[in-house]
Amino acid sequence: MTRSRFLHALVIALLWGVVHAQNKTVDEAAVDAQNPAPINMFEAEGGYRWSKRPDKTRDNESWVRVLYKGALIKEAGTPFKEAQSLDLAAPAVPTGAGDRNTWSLRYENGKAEAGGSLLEAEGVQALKLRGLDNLDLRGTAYIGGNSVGKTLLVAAGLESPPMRIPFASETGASNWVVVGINGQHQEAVDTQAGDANSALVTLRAFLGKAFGWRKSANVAETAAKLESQLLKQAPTFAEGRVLAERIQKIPANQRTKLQQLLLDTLGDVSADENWNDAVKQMAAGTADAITDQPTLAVYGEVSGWRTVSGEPEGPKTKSLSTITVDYWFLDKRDNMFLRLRYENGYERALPTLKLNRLMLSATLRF
Amino acid sequence: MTDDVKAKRRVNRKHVLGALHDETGGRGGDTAEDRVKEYCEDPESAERTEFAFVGALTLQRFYIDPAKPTSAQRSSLWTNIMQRLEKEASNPGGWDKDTNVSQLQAIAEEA
Repeated sequence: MTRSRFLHALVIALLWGVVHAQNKTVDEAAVDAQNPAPINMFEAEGGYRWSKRPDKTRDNESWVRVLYKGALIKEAGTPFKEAQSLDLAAPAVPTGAGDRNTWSLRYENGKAEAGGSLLEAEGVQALKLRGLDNLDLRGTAYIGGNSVGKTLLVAAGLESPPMRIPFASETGASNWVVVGINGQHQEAVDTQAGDANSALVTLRAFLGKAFGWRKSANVAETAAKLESQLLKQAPTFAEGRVLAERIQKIPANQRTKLQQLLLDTLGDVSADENWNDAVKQMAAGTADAITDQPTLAVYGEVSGWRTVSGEPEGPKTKSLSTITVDYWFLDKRDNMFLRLRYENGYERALPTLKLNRLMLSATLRF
Repeated sequence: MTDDVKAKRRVNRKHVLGALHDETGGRGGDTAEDRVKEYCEDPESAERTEFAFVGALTLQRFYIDPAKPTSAQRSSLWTNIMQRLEKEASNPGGWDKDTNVSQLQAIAEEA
């Protein structure tokens, strides 16, 4: 895609979001964004990447992608639409941002700068090791590979639980450090020359904080809407219990937030209490939380590994550092933001190629 | 609903918030921090609005990065919650950054 086509698509996406935002009342925007409509059914993202190769040459590129429930769809003719229905007893519509359970899998075609494909999968399980219970260690497994170097990495090891970065917690920032040890085997797909076994010490650290908290909608109006939706379908405590029996048949991981709110309300109130008051209080607390919106989130992450046994290609210590700034620039929408991200270092699945790039993107999720 | 069941659910919510703090060091952002701390100090006597407020906090408020929690981080959080609830159950999945504390608590209680 040329730069002009990219900019054209990006401007259309942004304008569409702005116009759409203006057509909604503030409470509609907030409630739709959080409850109970499925969120992240669609995700549109456009960006530009400035990339510098180790030989000082540049490899800039732009991108636009549209996802539906996590699956990529064509760039043109995207069928945008919103889910408006509300049925408290109906299970939530699955979204693309869902869990991958014990394993996560990432496959990116064309991401590797040399034009190849990147595959990574990782998992963690709690382990009980005799005599080491207090360390609360977790077992880890990793598979990574790329079609550029035609190599496959398989690793297994132990990892610590998250630990705090000194002094970071006092700032109210989210922060953690995880250290581990890994045994790794590298398998060259086409030749035996690249096969190697190695032992690694790994580290992942994160520090991030959201700033400029504000209300994305009127709290009282949002609470009134939640209250009215709950009371419409459960006008009395007794009717609420009947509805709850139907909702409880839905597995907890498939319930919507509104369904769980109704169960919470019923679980926190007794038959002799005023049902309407209880619903009002629960709606007020919920509305207060879901209308909170940061303006800026800044976070940095370092993931590194050192080869302590074996001969890697290049330096023995490698890491990938990223710094990201997310900016929610619209007053009444929390599903549209600009992102500036800088990446420097090596991805574990492609340890021979050093990244040094800056990315600017705009994302719209709904 | 009996008072025992009500109290247990409120205490379990405190455990989920405690596990999130263990894992991320966060308490849901500047606007939520004091309210989360106060709720965790005495969950059984907390106002009903506070019970609802802390329950509606999404995981993204603790993890900051929209790409988190990753699979490894979800496993780690799940392990922590199970230890606090004194349960041994596998993670059924189906939850992510957009899941709120109340939903995660229900998933853990049902597992």
